[in-house]
Amino acid sequence: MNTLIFVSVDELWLKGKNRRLYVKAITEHISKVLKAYMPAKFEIRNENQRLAIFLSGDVDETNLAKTVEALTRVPGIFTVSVSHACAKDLQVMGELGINLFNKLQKEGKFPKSFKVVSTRTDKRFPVTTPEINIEVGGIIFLHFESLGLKVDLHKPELVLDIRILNDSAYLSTEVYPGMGGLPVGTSGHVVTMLSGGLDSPVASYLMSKRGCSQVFVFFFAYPFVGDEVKDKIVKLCSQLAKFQSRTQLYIIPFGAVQQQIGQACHSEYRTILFRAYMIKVANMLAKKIDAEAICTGDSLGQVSSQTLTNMALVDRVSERIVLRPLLGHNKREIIDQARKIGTYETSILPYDDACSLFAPKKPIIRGDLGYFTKFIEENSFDQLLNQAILDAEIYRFQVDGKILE
Amino acid sequence: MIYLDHAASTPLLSEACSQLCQSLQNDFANPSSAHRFGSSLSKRIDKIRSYFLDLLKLDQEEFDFIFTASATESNNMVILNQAVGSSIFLNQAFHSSLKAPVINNDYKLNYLPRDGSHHLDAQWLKTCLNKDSTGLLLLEWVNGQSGIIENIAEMASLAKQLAPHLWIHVDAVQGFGKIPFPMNSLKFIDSIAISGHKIGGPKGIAGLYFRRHKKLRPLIWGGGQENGMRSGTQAFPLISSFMTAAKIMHADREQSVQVVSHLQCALRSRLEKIQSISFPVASAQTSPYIQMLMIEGASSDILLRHLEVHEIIMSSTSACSSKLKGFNPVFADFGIEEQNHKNILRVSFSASNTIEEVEIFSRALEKILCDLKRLTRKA
Repeated sequence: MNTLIFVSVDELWLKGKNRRLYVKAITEHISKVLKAYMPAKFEIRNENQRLAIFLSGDVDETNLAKTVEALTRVPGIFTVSVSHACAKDLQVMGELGINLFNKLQKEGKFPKSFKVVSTRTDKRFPVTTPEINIEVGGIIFLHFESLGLKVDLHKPELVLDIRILNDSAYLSTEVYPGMGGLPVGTSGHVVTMLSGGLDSPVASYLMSKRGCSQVFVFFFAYPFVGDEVKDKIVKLCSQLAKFQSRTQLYIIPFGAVQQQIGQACHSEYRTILFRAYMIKVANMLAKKIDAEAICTGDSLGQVSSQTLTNMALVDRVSERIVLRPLLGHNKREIIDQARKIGTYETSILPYDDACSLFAPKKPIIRGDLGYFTKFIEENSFDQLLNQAILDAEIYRFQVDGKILE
Repeated sequence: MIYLDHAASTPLLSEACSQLCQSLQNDFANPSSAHRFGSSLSKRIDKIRSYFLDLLKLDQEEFDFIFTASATESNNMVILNQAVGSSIFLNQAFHSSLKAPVINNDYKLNYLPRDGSHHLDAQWLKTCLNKDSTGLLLLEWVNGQSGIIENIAEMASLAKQLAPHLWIHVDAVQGFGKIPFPMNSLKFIDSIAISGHKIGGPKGIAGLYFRRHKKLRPLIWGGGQENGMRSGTQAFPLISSFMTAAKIMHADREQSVQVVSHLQCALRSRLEKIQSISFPVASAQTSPYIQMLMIEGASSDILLRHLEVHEIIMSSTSACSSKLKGFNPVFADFGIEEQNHKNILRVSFSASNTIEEVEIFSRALEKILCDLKRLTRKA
């Protein structure tokens, strides 16, 4: 039985001339996912505003399930469905339908009601779609009538989707919602700052969803924190990589920089100045890798460095727009989202972080512009920061989260 | 690099290393094989066995000695030989290879308390042992965390006097080859565990002394090697290198103790001057090889990493419990308040360390403490 995965693309109807670019970006991403999860050969074709992925040869059910799950994490995909091929013959379609319903029964997913919806790409096929619906639906209904299966044209529990393509007919019983949004890379390239907490991975996810490809940066405060913190970040990136088509992580050694800043500044400015220099390094990195924006996990008012005044201060050192997709999120909303994207368990691992070690008793809530600007002007630390980028450890991840050697 | 973590593991002595390498090359036969090549290795193993028994002047009629893969295995073998439900006496500060097999199996646990000077309280034995008592008394000759040397002769003789049927096992890992074994304790002791890699021998080789008349069942069954007590192909190269290390350690012991005592003295008098540093078990008799420090206001994790930047390698606690965060029962047993459990460092020497290294370490520690204080000041 030949298998085909149908993918529908989100927000494509909003696009005009650049539609081809979107399709190209998402096709490339899908190819990477298939290569990572499926040993089978495949071919992607554009079928009537949808992407049809033809899988040839025997398809392993477990691999197929993993692939479908991975595709639901590809930004820009609206739905994913798995279809099975058969001859373009109503009786044969009916029999395949019966098989698929039997399979559902085995899996405990047998519906109470159903309907058939068919489309005909191959207009030479002599039967109209209402006729296909009635004929194939009838065969299935008669077979399962004794089990209490009903036909419901308005609110069916299950829709049997039939597509008549040039080569075969394709039947599908299950549709999986994708993450939607825009294909990765179509909205630009961003440097995303990760801290190891709950917020920044969610911020990254949201920017992936809106089509930003991202390079991650982590400021590693060794020897104030240990290697376990680095391992945690690598683990987080490996999860976030599943929402990206290619992922890079820069681990910037930052302990020496923090030492210099900490010794030179008023203690209540420690946190905000650390952040300012992190933003500065993120900009230097963005220049190097040609990224247009910086993304952080800031949520308005969550901690002292996330007040309007202090965010505005920090932004003064940035030559690029600082994206803060979580500004309007409550902590609970962020936690729910982190659970959904699979970063929660890693984020809450209780490793010491440098923030708490350096946290002054009373961090400044409304930083003084004069002091801040003067400090930044007098302490460029350019050489130190450049060296930190040069000394960065770089990790690359595949779409399935595996680290590329 | 300055290496001050010899209690965790110490480098191979060069003679032990050459012995190991040449033996790995040349002595590749299986000692259990029938041919002469194999049987000659088997005979040499028996000679090495006699060497280890002679080291403690043990009568071969009375005692046997077998090679194991680790002191953890040796300790486990004795503990797991106790019948389910037996009483086992041990102390909270003991190494995890003594605690874990007791805690994770169906034994009656009895924790030995410490007295005012941090030594195991021998008198306490009187309150819980009598002539009908059976089970196992576990003793650590030298504690790996604090360096405290226990009076095992006093403990063992009193225990045997009170409870003649009690099995007495001594973990001698941190003292063997380093300080003189209290020979007067031997007539009360039933088994002793030692290890290769703590004395400049290779990892993966250790030993267990035990009384022949005591019924000990093997942990590992198979081809009946080690007189049926420990099956598995005997690792001749490891065994021979272990002996080389033991010979050198014993030959040099007095001189090494002098060197190391000198280092410890220098370290103490140097660090004494730093206000935030104290020595938690100063009132106890301790091994010159191990020095425990408490550093108020600085977390040991952070200090260890800063020292690492200066290429100074050491630990806060035994390598087998270094993953523990927060409350540490070992420290609590020495009367250290929980709030200070994250402030402990352990310096452990070998005779290869120098007074210059002690000075470099002390200076580095002083500077790190000073920098950290400035950097993490709260106001």
